[in-house]
Amino acid sequence: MDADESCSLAPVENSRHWGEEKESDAVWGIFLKKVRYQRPSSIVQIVQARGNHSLGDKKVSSNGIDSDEPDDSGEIAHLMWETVRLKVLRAGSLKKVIEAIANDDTDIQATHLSVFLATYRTFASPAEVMNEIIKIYRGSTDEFLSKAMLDALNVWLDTYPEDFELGTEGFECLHKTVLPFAQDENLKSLLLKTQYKLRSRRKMKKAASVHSLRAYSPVCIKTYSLPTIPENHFAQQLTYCDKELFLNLRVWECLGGLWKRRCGCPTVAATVEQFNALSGRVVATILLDPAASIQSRAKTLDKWIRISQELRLLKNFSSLKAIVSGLESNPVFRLSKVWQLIAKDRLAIFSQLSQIFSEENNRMAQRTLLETEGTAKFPTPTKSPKEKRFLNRVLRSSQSTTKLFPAEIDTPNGTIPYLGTFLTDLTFIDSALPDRVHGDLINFEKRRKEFEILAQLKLLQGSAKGYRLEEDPYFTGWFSALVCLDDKSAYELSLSIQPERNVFKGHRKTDSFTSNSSSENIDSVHQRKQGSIPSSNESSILYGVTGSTGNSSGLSSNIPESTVVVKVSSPSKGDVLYKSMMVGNSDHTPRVLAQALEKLGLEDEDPRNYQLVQILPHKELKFPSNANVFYALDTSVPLGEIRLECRPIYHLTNNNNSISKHSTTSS
Amino acid sequence: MVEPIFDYQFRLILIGDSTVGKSSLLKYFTDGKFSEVSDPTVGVDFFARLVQVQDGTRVKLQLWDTAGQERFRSITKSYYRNSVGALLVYDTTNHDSFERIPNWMEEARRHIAPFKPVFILVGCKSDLPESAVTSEEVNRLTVNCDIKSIITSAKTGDNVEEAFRLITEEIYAKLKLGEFRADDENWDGIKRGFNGSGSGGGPLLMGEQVSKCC
Repeated sequence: MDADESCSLAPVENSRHWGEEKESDAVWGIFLKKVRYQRPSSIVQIVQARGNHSLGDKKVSSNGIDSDEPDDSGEIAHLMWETVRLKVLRAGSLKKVIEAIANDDTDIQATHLSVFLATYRTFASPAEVMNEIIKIYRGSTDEFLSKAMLDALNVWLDTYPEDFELGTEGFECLHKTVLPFAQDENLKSLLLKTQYKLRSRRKMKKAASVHSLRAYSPVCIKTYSLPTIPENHFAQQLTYCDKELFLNLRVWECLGGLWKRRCGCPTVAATVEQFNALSGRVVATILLDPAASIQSRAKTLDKWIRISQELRLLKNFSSLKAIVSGLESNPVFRLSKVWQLIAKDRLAIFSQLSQIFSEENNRMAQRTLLETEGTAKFPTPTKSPKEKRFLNRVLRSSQSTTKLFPAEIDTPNGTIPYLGTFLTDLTFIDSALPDRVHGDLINFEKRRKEFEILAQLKLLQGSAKGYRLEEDPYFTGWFSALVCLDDKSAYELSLSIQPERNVFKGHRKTDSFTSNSSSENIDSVHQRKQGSIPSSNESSILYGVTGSTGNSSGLSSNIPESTVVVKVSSPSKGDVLYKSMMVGNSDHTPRVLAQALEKLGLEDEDPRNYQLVQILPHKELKFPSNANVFYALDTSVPLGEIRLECRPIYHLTNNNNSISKHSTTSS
Repeated sequence: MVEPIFDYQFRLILIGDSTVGKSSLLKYFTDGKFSEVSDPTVGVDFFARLVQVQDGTRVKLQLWDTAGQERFRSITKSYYRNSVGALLVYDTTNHDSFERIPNWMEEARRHIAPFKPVFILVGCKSDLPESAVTSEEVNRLTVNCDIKSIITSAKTGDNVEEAFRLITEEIYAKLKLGEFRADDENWDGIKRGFNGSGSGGGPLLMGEQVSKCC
């Protein structure tokens, strides 16, 4: 299935290294390759003669038949092989690297060209490459070389049309070079082809943008709610979005040298953004609602695990990883009281899902999975019976799928990988190998290595086309309207839901658990080996222990009974849009102001010089200087959308005396 | 047969801005083996090294590097949780990367809580000889935060061993004092090694990989 990809992996397949050849501007690796012939029997004689003749410095094994390969029974007699000497460019100047496209062995030429086109951006700009190609094309008397250059331009246009986009240096370069030589029919037709291609791309883009406009129509909001939306629909919509992003991904942007330095990698950035948006929403939906009971938080958490199951079946490892890491981020993961309420089966499934992304053995689990399922149509691993059992379990417990079974599961799917793994690999390759070698020659060996990874991504992109999913614009609208939390607020909210002293993993020197850890406790802790989720059994033991000596942090007594999350901003801090913070039912204006200013990085300001204002859609509500903010808030706006502003007083007195007077006289 | 390969496993995370040379550090520490990372047929723990602390205890360092994934915010966060120490890496020629160290530190604290991670400040010297960060600035930060610091070279690999040794010694000292506990079932920051099998991680090559620290 991946013949053309895999042959590009090793420099030369079925070959052995012979030596190295150096020129002033190039270093070549020399390989000897066995080439097998299969000819009709009528010309056997000729083939044999030729084969024997050209074996040259390599001794033929007794029969001249490659015994490693499976026999094609009757064909054996006609199979002969010869040894060919192959040159593979290791390093070279830009000119040499481009000329090597025309290496006289077609097998390597294609590979070289693919590697070159996928990676050239790390050592040259599109214009530089275009100039060089056309220079070689026009300057060469070698017809074969000229033709190869023209082929290269055509392949380039077909595989990376974005480089020829109007306004890019690539396009301008082509234009400029071609115009003076318009009599050159070849270049002229290339230019026409480019223009045609650009037109059709523009048309497609236009259609797509009309489509997405529909998606963001304001009517969509609040059509769904997390508790009621079917998990498979949720997962399919996430997958639809990830699929679009993945198909639009320009894989070369992932190259370590480019992404690490953030050199214009919009399609990678878009993937990362969607990933963060999802894991941020996972965290927020579990933590945000201050009035939520532990039970309802557990329900939300359970919902996310169910959604991840569906994602697993859809082989969408990107969103799956986003949810898993959201659930495993400290603010959520530490809430043992919530995790306790999750059914055992569900927990087991979650820990299995999380195991997919284990770091052990250089992320072996994930790599093997991608290898076995990457281009398969269904999530049906053949290798591990354990994995098979697990999948069956996921299938069984996935209600929504069983309902639609078998129609739903029969839909062939693609695969969407978690891009981070590839980015890390490419970063490592980039820092492990030098860009330039032997003075200032381009290290093309490095590019070959990078291409191996890019080729895997390309292959998966091909398989991602297999998804048959329709966008639901209502979902898109609803999902993008869900609130995200910043890191610090998430942690603070988490602490308010479950104060730190109750966290199951006490460890300090003075901690009671350490000193009290009787064998009995340890045993019960060790009973649960699978995964690392705080089970109810263990937690209750630990609560007992910590509770009996407890009270080390003393946090719990200060926790307000009711809290509300507000967004605060200040005109004194123009660059920050807003920060989220909590207001408790015992918080008065000075305290809220002080906290808000601290949040906004204005801790040096005196809260007394500020006034607290609630921003409402059509009006503002100014708080008296010592009001109970919690009860004074106008809560007619949706939860999570309560906006407060810390306004410097001088600002007010300048513009509106009555308000400032009001603020000082009341209370 | 029951010969322990290592006595403890510490999980460490490398954090800092994306261009500061975290992966160069790791490259020197792991002998550059990670140019092979993407080969799924090689089931070796690339990010592990065995070091010996002063009393002869063997510690396997399991290193987590999120290189290339810095912008996947929740990824870094979930890595934090199971780490006992963090190498705060900045580029000595890039002042911004130094200024963001306190942010990285705060974020790590928040996500490793309630455990108290051990930090070490690692300056990575790149090709440029001029340092954009003064030693006074470094001193101020290390004194304020009570952490050790070291300058390494991304070009020659100088001091890379030393950086990892320093943080290992400090974690080990805290472990001996009882500030950390090995084998907390819910935390993988520190694990005890039995027969080399108990705590995950792949086969660890012995011999050349054991670095004697004095």
